[in-house]
Amino acid sequence: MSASAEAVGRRANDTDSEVGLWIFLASEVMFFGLLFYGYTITRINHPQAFADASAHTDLLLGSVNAFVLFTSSLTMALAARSLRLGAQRASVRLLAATLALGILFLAIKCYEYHVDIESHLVPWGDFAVSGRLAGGERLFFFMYFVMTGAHAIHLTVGLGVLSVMLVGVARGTYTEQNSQAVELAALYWALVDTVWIFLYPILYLVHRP
Amino acid sequence: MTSTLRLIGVWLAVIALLGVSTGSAYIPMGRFNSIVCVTIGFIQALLVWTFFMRLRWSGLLVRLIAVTGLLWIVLLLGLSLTDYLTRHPVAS
Repeated sequence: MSASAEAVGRRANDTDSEVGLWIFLASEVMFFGLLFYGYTITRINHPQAFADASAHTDLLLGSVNAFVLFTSSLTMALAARSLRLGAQRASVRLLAATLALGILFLAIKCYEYHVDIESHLVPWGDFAVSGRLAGGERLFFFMYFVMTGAHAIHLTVGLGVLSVMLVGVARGTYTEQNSQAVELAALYWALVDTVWIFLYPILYLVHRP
Repeated sequence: MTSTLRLIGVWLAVIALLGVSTGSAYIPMGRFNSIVCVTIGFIQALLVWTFFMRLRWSGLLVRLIAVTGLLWIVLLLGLSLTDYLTRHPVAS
């Protein structure tokens, strides 16, 4: 099986739809890149406020979510691989696991937002911090909500795509011979995962006293 | 090694790096804290793109597109930082 898996896996030519999706993914990289750019410039202007504000984020929830999302990337890659090799039932189970992990991520994120709101960390309201660094800390939490919010929207879109894939594979619409849609969905899901790979250190790990 | 085992190995590496990254935040290193954890992020992203996103098996065109997206971010950040990181305080 190993040898045939290798044969299935190695392709020299990209399909048109793969090329199209990668162009979309490159534009997504530039979209999130601008947010990271904004974050970087703001942090250069407010280094101490960003360090202090980052300590207010919930490291445990952020870390658990990183684990959940990184794991969902594995189940998604395995789901696409299973379908490519004709293991339809395994693919359905792995897609369901990916969907469940994605929903778990969103649920934890929503709970975290709830805690943030209760702790008055929303920058356009009655903000928890006052004093000299309050302005900079507000900017940190502005970036925090915009970046994690943009990520959550992408993840929600991904959940919709995954649901369609799950039904499609279960019904036999997507098969060993027709697995491309699932493969493209796996690419998009891995990109959403990649964004969290960078959001996690710059939002949760700036300064841990 | 089957490709399933390889994917699981990549996942283990990404999770292990997550642990290293989180742990490193508690070691006071000044500005190197951020350099360390963002560098770890790049290694994790490289693993995800190479194996989960299958760039290792992609053709040249897809690889070029993947690199182009990143290249523009590097240009944007790099050229801007030549300004922001070399500014001196100006008396108002």
